[in-house]
Amino acid sequence: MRASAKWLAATGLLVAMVLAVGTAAADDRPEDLFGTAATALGHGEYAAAIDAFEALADQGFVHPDASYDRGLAYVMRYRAHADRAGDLGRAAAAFEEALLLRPGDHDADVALDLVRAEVTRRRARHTRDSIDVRPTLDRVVIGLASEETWGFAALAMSLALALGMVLRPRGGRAHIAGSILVPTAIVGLLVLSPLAFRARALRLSTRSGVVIAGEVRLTDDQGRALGGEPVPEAASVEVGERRGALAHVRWGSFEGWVPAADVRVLGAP
Amino acid sequence: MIRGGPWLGFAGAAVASFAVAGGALAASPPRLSVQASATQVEVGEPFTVELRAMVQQGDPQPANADINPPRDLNVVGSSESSQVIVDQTSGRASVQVGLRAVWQLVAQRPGRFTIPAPTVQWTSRRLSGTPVTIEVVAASGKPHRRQGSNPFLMPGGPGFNLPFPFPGGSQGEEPSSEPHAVPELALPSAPDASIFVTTRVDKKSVVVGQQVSFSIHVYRRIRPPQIVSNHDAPLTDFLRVQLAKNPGTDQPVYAMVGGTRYVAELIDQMAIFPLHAGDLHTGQVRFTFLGGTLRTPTERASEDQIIHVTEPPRAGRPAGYTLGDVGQFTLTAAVEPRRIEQGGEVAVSLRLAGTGNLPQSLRVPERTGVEWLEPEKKESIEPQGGVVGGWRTFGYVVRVKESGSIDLGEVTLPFWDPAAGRYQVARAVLGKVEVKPTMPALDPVTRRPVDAAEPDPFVTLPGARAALGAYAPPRRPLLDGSMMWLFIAAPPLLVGAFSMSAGAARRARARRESAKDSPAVLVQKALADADRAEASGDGKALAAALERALHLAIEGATGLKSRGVLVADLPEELAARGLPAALGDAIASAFGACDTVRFDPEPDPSMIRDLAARVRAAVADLGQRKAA
Repeated sequence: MRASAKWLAATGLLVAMVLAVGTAAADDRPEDLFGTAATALGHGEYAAAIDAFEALADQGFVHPDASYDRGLAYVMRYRAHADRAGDLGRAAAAFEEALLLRPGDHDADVALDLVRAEVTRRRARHTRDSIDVRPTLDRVVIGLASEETWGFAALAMSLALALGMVLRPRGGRAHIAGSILVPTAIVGLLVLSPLAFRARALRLSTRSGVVIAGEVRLTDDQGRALGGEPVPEAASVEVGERRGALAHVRWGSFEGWVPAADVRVLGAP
Repeated sequence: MIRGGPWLGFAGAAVASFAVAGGALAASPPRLSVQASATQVEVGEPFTVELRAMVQQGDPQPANADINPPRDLNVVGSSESSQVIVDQTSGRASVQVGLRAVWQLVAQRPGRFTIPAPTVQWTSRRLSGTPVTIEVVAASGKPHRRQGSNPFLMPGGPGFNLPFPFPGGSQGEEPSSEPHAVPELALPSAPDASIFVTTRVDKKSVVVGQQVSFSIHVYRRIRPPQIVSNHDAPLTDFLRVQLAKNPGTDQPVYAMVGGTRYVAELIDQMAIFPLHAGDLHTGQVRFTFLGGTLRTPTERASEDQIIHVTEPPRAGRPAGYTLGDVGQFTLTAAVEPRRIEQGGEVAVSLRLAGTGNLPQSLRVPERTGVEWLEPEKKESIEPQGGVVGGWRTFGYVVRVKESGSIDLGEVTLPFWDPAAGRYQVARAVLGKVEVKPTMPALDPVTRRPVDAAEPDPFVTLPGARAALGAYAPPRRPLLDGSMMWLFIAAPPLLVGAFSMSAGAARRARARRESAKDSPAVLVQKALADADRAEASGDGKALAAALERALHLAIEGATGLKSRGVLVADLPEELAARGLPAALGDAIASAFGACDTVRFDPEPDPSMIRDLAARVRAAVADLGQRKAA
């Protein structure tokens, strides 16, 4: 009798432990955390929603809908006049992230425009001119196509060069074709290979980011102000090396160091 | 000028020059504050004047603090330290940097003295703080009180509240009671035989926000000297809290250092909380001693302690966890009243108690229609048994703009419990508030609500997504890294390699073809023919083959086509081409013998063998000549 009671207790304990572990595991699932966050957002509980969406991002969960809703939570806090410094920047970062993950996301595009317009309107209220920054020529050229496109174009040139090398020693039309192909392909390779190389180096060494402070001033790596215009909130920047509490950013043609906490690096796909 | 040694001036000048170079014109000047530790002191009683000069991070930093007290007030000690203040109350970090200079003064006679404003160098200017007035009364003979210290301060807060001079230093004698030996303070070796400074930390590996006890000891084997200047450990990456209530007043103890007994004095002890992850340096503590048996100012520096700081684990991290919230906390709440009118306010009082790094702010359950105003904070935090703890209250006014039964939700504080090694969540449920609806006040003219909201710029904002939609992460690039460069480089390299190897094969074939007709090969062929002829006993064929071998060997060795040369002239021609006369003669003789054999119907076999041997020897000799 006593032995069967012990067995019963042990079995019950085991079942309870399995259930507890199962529940804990279920709570830890990103999909469940997203559900919690989305429900809080639906009820207007933006603080709880922000906490949950940020926890989701901390877990490394990357999904355009999670990023989009996170942006909405920050906008909701701004609309409730309970905003903290940088909320619009954080919202813009979330929408940028959603667009990075799903480039055709129309809602994220609209929301991002609204946030940036509000930032501009708010700056105008403080008589700050809007600043127009243009990317440097290298970024413009590299940005014309994807890294993979540059790579395939360089590969095509490489094949053309090989074909030219085969044809050139032959006689007649083959020789003419080879004589044209070889120099053309060499020039193409000399142009396209560096572009492919640079595009890859940029992908590996930099990340997209958004300024999440009211505005940040660029400094040198010792923290000394560089002068020039401050980078406004919600501005997209290219984030490079990180050194201590500073991060190297490039904003248009301006580059320098800013506090790393003032820039949100977007989640990579 | 601060008595801190020449490096201070140099450092100040360097900082100033950097500031000028950094475009100081655009920067805001430092915020100066001057504070005296007392407004009334006795003659001979030490007091301090403190100057703080803070600027926003990135602006040029102030340096070279200076004070010029009246003649009857003597500066008996000074310290200067850098300061970093991180303010996170507004939701984002605001970092201020600067310097803090403390002068210890002693009045020589009673009276009312005004100390002119201490000054500090900033860019090319010298800025002044505010003057300080001190009332000095006659000495009462009572022991001098020590200055208290705020127990909870941001990084770079007050440095060591050291007594000047060193305890017992003025008398030049050991404390009255016999110090006892403390084995925990034993060290394997002494960096200096007479006096040195050392620092200790109780943990070398912690998480962000976890308390580390940092203590400073002076070890000495000499009579107690005075500390004429001290420089705090920078501790820029830490938040510090004073643990020692009266630093520098602890009874000295004995400690064994490398087998030698030293007097060890605890100069200061503080709790430090790392602000971020990494291998964080405490920096050096430096003292300058004078007196005792030290005839000249003697500087000693402690070691730079390195603490390995990590973040608490990501796995199992609760939503809303703020890095640095480490300790053991409880949270309680009180909400009053529970019934209000729409637009009215309730008071929410949250009390956070426990030990560790008590958070400066709480995350409240904000939601649409419920406005949480900035809280009023009260706190009582002090070390208890070497652990920082106490309580902090947050008094919120919460304005409710909606009507009905409004659930205020619950306040949660997730924290990392280092003792349990896991996350915990302190919770306080706020409950519901009954809100009676009211009509909005209308403007009598426009008949519109008086406090109508501003137009919403986000009115066209798309809605939220209740569920995760389909999303496929982008595929990895087909060509990436070294594979891409391999593919790009391969085609021309392969074609090039193929054509080069084909060319090489062609050349090798040509070489082989040309080698077939070389004199050396033909000589060997002729000698082989000679062997066959000799074996068959064909004298004519033998002579012809030997003759051919000789001609070819001569051609190979000298380039001379000897068939067109008379045998009589041959030795001379060969000598002209560098061959020894004996060899030329031997060759000519061999040619003669060949003619003899060719035209002899029955040649002597021994003659044939002799001829073959001579020709072979000549050919071999010619072959060597060529090689040479």
